[in-house]
Amino acid sequence: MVNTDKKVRIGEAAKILGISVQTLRNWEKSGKLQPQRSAGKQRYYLLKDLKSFALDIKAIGLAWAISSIPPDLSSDLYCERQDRFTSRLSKMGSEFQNNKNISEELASLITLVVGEIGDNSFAHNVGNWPDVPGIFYSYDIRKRIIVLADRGRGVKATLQQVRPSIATDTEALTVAFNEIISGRNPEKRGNGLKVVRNVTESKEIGLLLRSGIAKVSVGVKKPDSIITKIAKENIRGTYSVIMF
Amino acid sequence: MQTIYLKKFGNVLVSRPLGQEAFNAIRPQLNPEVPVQIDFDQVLTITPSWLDEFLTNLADFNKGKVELLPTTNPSVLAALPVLATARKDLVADIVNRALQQMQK
Repeated sequence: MVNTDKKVRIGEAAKILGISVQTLRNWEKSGKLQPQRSAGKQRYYLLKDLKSFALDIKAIGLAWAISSIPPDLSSDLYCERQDRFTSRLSKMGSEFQNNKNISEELASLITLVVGEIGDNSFAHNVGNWPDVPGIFYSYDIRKRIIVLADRGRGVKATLQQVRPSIATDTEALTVAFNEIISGRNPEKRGNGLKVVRNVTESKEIGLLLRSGIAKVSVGVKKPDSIITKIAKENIRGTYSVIMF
Repeated sequence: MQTIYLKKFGNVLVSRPLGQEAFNAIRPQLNPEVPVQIDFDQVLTITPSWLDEFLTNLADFNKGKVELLPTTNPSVLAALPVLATARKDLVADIVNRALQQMQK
């Protein structure tokens, strides 16, 4: 049995979390993950704290989306390119399909929602990633959540390309989920998020999607309608949590 | 009548580039004069983006002679009504025909 009260130094802690030492230092500064201090002021982490943090994919995804310095992620949390995302999505779909606690219908529709949101990150940022390309993508069947995040330009900047009058993040998200509009005009596209909205409003799938200082959310329990609100922190790209 | 079995392209069909790629792969086997039917059996998920791209290319290729076989696939049933509303062209005609057929 693993002793979870074990204390580990920063180098080992970084290895356990699959990130760099520098990222851990940045997280300490920002308060995202604080180490303990020994009597001699030596920095250490408790293994149990690391395990708990490691399992919190919502926290890791959010930290990756909002940190000013992009943290390194382990390869099982990060898809640099679209083909990697597609391949992991197919694997997730099959895993959900074979899980006796998830219906075939739910497996199909969750995969649709994740596929559209993840694909949007690539389609709208290719050639324009501000710093790190690709997306954070992780799921936890036990907790029934999936987390996606990107450090892209965000929904407002994307839609302003075709509709410069969009002034706020809230307006951008409202338009994205309600109108047939594409940030890649004149391509005939822009219907994916409308399908995501219909699915999450009618089936047992919840969604939180943040971009800029706006967020849309719809609960898992139905009936529920999607609502747009102001968030506390700014996210330049997008951050999504899908619950089921 | 020619039939395209989408399961040949995988269990999860996602993204526009891959919808385009699937059409490019199947095109040499298709006769543009002969109607095509699309079979959704044994596919877990088709995203609206993939389906839109694939149907748009196919409809352009054979002037809309496309029939969607009745399906219970939840992802297809979720995408079709939005596609029917979003498009005002051959793709909308194809989707509306399929929706009417499945409501019978």
